[in-house]
Amino acid sequence: MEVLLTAENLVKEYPSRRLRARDAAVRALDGVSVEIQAGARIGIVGVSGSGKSTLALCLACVEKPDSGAIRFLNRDLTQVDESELREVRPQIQLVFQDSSSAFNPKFTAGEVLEEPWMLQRTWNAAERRERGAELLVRIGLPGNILDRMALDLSGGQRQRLAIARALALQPKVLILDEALSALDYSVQAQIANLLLDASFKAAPAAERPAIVLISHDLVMAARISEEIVVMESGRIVERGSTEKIVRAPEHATTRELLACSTGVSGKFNQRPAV
Amino acid sequence: MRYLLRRFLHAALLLAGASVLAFLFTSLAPGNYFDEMRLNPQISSETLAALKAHYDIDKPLVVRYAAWLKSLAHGEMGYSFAYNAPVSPLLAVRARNTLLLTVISTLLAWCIALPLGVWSAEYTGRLVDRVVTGASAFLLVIPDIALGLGLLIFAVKTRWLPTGGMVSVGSEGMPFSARLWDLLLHMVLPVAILVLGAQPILVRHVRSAVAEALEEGFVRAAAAHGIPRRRLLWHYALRAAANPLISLFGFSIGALLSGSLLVEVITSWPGLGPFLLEAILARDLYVVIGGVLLSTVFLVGGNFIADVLLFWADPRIRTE
Repeated sequence: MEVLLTAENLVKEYPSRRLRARDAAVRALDGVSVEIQAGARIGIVGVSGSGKSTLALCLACVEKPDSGAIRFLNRDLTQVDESELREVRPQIQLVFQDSSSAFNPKFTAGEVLEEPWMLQRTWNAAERRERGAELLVRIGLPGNILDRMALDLSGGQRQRLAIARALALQPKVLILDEALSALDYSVQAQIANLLLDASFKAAPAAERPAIVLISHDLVMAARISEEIVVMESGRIVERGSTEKIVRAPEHATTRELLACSTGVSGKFNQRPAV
Repeated sequence: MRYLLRRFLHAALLLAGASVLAFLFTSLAPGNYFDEMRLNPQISSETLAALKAHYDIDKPLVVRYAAWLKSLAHGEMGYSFAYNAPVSPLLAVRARNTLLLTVISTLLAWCIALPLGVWSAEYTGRLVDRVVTGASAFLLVIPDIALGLGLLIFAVKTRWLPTGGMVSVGSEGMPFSARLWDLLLHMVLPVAILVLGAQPILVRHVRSAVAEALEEGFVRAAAAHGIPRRRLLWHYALRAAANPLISLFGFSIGALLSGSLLVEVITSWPGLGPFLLEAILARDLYVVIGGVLLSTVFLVGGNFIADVLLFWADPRIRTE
């Protein structure tokens, strides 16, 4: 399979906010490498502060790593300038945890969805609207919410809208940074099914986005991804197929995460139904 | 719609209140227009009494207010003692001159301040930003009067611009285009003073509002989606920053009549400023009240326009 996006030896430090501690920078990423293949579904799990969100921000080129390389289709994104980066951005889409702060508060749901098409001048207004309604239905939202303000939607609807917005330009990589965590479990499950749908059935193989799911919830990650990467303190401590991680976790952190997600310490050895 | 109607009623009430207060306060001030005449031996006390009676100055406040309301209904706004003419036409001519000056300079000031502020916010901390903020700080500390006098000296030394008034002597006979050019030349100086004086505050407000908006989550999210920078700046950040700027714009409309008083005096522009100053010193009661009310109309009107703009710009207010 074709390798789409790789991170090589990423290091990212955030300066400490304390006044005096000059060398007390927080090392959010400490030599992290991941490889994302076309159409793959990969879960990145870890507790708060493990660096998983920083990894997501770096992969989506929102943050620039201090060192290391991010290669997308053989181009090192850490070396290109902003205008070149802009050509790449539509292909790597990031969905944030908190969609209430991710939408322009003055946009309706329709404007949110249609904006990328408008900017690319792909279709005229009527076609855009039709496509927008189609995309909404595909993502499990009623088509008549196009004229509602994006921020007036419920949390679950909003998060779906955010995913729909990310899918609008048919990206090659879809990164979900705790995008499901704030939702209740049944909505999470619905969206999980939807993502599997988006990456499996609805689209032909060429348009199928690779999914990178960032989560603290190992079970949710396992449900969606084929491969899981476990992070702790900016490093990757364990990685492997979902099967292997769930059945035979090796690292203590992985076992803890499993225990947290299931509430049944260590006894979880069944792959969740997909 | 209900919202706008409510704001409109609010504005009307405010105006009525302002007119009552204007009457109250001017009647509290000691003396009146005719007191100085008493010192003149050529005017007999009978004449004075007759004059006072003629202008209703000896009647109680309520009666005078009612009489004034009646004259307002006739579009006169009372009577000027000094000019021996109804107040409205007197005010109208001066207000027109003032507005000519202030409308142009306000628009110009905003047209300069918006791009400068956005530009400065986009390059926060860089050379452009430092030059813009430095220059605006410099302008901020110079008093308007010093700025005006400096520009006047410049005009006198270079002889490029007329230093005062609104038209040149003998311009009446000139063709229209020449008269227009003459007027424009006379406007350059006062407009420049007004624009430069307003610039620092506007630029700083725009800069800080846009810089704050650029830090918002949705702007960063849009950047991550690949929205072009130019659109981010003008469509996202500036729109998010619009609310405080619109309120500020309302204030600039409110200041249209009063903001140029000083400039009008030093460039002898025949506007409301010198006229009202003279009226206040002479206790030309109804002119002062008229001036106060006209200013209130603009203040209230400016706020109303700002409200309408906010209503249009921000869906969150619409659903309120």
